[in-house]
Amino acid sequence: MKAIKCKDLNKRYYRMNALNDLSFSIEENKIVGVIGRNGAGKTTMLKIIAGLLKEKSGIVEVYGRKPFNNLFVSANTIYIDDAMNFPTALTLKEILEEGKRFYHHWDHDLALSLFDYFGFDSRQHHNELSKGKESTFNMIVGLASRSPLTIFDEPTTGMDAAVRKDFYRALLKDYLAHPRTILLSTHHLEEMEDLLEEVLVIHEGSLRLHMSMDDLKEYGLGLTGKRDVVDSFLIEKEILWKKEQAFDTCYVVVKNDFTDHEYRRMQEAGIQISPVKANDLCIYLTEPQHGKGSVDDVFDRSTDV
Amino acid sequence: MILDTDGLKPIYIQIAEWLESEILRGNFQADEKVYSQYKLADLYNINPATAAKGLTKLAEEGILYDKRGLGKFVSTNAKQIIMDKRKNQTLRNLVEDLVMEAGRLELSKDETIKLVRDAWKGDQE
Amino acid sequence: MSLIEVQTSEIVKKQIGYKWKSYTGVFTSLVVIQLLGLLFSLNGSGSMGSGRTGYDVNITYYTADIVVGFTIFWGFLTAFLLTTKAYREDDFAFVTNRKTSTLSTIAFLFVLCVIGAVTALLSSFTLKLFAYFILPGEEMLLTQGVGNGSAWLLGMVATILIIFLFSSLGYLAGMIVQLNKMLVIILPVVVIGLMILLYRGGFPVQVYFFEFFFEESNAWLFTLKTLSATTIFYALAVLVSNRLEVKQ
Repeated sequence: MKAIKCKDLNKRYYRMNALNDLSFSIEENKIVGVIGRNGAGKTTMLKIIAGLLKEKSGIVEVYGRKPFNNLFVSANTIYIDDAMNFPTALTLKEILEEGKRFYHHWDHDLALSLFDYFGFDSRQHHNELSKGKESTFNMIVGLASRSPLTIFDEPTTGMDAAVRKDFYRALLKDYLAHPRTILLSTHHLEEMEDLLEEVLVIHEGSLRLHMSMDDLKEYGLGLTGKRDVVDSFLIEKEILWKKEQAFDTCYVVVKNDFTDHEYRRMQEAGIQISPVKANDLCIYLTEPQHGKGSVDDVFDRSTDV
Repeated sequence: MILDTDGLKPIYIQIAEWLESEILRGNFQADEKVYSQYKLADLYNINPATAAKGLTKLAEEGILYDKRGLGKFVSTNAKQIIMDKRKNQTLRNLVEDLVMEAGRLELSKDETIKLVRDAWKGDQE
Repeated sequence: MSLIEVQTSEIVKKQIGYKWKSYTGVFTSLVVIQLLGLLFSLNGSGSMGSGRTGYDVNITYYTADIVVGFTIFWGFLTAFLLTTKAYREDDFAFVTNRKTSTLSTIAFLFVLCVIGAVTALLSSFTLKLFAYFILPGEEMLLTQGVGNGSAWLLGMVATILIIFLFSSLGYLAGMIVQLNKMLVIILPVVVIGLMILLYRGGFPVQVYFFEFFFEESNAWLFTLKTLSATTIFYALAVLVSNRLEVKQ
């Protein structure tokens, strides 16, 4: 059974299209990264999957059922973001106790061990925590719930680098011991790319790419060389990004479907071939479509005046 | 081994090469079970699917074989396969790179071979 | 991880417990509002006097009427507040859907109404004690004895039902307001405006409302009337809430 299935999913916000005919499906027990710029529609999509928002049209199914207002989906899903609302009257320990009552797979030992490891005080309240601490606590709730579908929307907001590292490690450890479907949206792809099995790249409410992380890492190829030499190899290739450099050279990111033969010829022609990091690739793939160009253009324009 | 996460080499290839090196070093003997994808994932902090891809690659090359439900085991002739492969592919690629770089630096064939010979001697002493 | 099937009843029960622990603020507000009611009651909730040459008789009633009135208002307000976004999102931190969220809130409100009614009625004893100690020179006349248990119980049930009825009104009003922030202003204006218009037109709806419920002398009919009205208001609230998304 598919954990998640979306077909022609649409959602509108204030007369703007937040999601545009989104179609994809995700197999059970994978860690999937959801990548996109701010405002690309990641959060909207994740909330629809978690049953917190209602789709406008299209099909969305979580374990074969419509998630909105669905108790079954709610019982098997946890949605963690950086704006979690917990009752202010409860202490952190009491919130964990509640989690234990509500989630059947909840691992209270894990929750308490992580709670101690990250130095929480049981008498603290959720609204007294700093941003980073809050994210850390929410992460504990998300991991301990052991929900078959666990959704983390920007889980690392405010966490320092050491805690982020611990989080990735804890996530992987717990996933290895208890495989489940995990969706992670993030701005730190380079930090967690090795954890991910698949990536969904969302751009302006549409699906830009859905592939395995290993494939994404080999999806693009960076070519550096004299402009006319490089250009001669780009016929019928999909150019993802291009940047002019000094001395008539340029750097081009192109979809990697070169044959070994072409590869050799490019090397012989003096073109430098480099891999394109997944994180950079995602930035190129989600470049605004309507002629805004790069931030460089903003400055070029002002110097012209 | 520490993974080179920024490099050209995909993680699963690095995992496969690490296993190959351990087989060459004798840390995995013939007909011995190698680490599972989960063990590798834990060891290198990577997704188990990536680790599995590395294992599958070695199985396809005949270095490992599958025992249903038990995992992957080292083939009897694993060492031989790895050595042949490294000679034929890895070394050849290195030499080709060397020749190309020599061409860019306008080194003659003789000069390049002399360089190799010198390096060989230096190694022997 | 294996998938879990859950029963609505199971989650409703858990949610009631969760709300009991989480919404401690409503108990604080109950204590405050009933103390306030007691304070106002110290003046007496009604008095009459007559005098002749030589002596004056002045009777002051000390009853819990004001406290009960305040508690009814508290029931309305508490129900109203529980519909706000912050409270609704607290529900959705854990397992729930709209149905279990609303059902558990209604059940929780009922428990609150029982507590409110019991404490309000018990406060009449407190009040009489106060009056006894504060006004030492006066004669205490304890009417309708404490001994009449069934009458007292009937009064208790009636009080619970009335507070519960008003909580349903508060809950409905709250849900309607959640649809659009502007309704916070529009709703009371419309309701009060309509009442004034109808009153001028010779149809004093609020008078009918009170006559319909509070002048009913048959206990069973009274129960039937209040409970059905309460059910209708809550049902309407559920209809409205189904239009709300959880997190925006």
